[in-house]
Amino acid sequence: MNRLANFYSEREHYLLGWGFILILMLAWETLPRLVALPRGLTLFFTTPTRVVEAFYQLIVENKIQHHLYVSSIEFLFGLALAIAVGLPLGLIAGRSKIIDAMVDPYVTVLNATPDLSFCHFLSFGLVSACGQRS
Amino acid sequence: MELRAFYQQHYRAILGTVSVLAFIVIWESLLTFVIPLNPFFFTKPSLIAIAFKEQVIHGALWRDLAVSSRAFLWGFSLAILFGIPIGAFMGWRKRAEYTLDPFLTALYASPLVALAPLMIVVFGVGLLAKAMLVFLLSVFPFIFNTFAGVRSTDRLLINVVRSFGGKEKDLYLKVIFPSTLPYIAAGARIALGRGLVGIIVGEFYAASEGIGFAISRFGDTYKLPEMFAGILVLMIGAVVMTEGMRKLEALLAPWKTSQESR
Repeated sequence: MNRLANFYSEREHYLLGWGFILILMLAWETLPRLVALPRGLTLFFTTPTRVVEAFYQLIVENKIQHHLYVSSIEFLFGLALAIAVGLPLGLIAGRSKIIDAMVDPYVTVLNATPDLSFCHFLSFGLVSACGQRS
Repeated sequence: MELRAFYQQHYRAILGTVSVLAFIVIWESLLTFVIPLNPFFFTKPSLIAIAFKEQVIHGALWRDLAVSSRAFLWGFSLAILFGIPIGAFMGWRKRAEYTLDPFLTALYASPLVALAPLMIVVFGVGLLAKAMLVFLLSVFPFIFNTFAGVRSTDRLLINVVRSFGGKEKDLYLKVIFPSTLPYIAAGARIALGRGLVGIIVGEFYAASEGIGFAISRFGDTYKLPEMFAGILVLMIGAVVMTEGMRKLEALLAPWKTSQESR
């Protein structure tokens, strides 16, 4: 008993953290087995095992790799561009009071605005790119 | 000489205005004199101004704004209501932190806007789905900032209150809450930005009214000046709220603002 208590107190941090996630997963998995969900909800309900199964299927059938690849390229390209523009601009603004004052309104406003609102403009009419009808 | 002193005092505001005006003038004149304007792909400030005026007078934009604000306020209030107690609990009880931290960190780090379609499927098109999306996105800054605030409470102050016979209630009200408040205000500013994203995404996906829907509808029908008028409204709202939050932060914790960046 003592050894068990020791084992627990040594790893309490991880046991509690992972235990909580595990319990949530179990609850999610067993919920539809314990109570009958309303018919409307069963259509849109899933369980962790089915998610894992679907994920496995997607990988085996090679259906997700391409999308992952495309997203990664887009992400890396955008990040590189952000670094290429933002880093020099920040350096210059930090060095010069005048540039700082001139750049400041743009940074403040664009930083506060959800960038997503430019989505329709940036995608130039590729409607599906912004969520609707996708 | 006076002019020089005036410039020295307000050079930031002057230069900022000049650079914004220059940008607008260049944009306008480029599309008026140099490049022929293709209204399907681009627009210019004068057209946006006209559309903006039109929208403001006829009021379609106000209705959209009201619809979006309602969903936003619901979600944001719920985030405050849940986020602060959870964060305080996590900061005060070590086991609560151990238990909740990995789970909440994982959620905070993942782009929850991806859940927008699910929210709409579960809660339907309308206020509830949008409010839930805003809640989901903006609750985490409240949780983690309150947590950090409670954590950073001065041990010495707590011990002083205890040794002078203070009760648990006094600890919370006189020490922990005041010292956590600036953290919460900083969290609120982050939550604000995330909440706005939530509203916009929710309305891009499925909505029949709201500012995000207006932007998306005008975008889809190639009414670019109107679309930019919508974006302008959103911008003004976002800047007013963010800067207001920053002012509030400075008010609550004047000693902190100088070291904090954007």
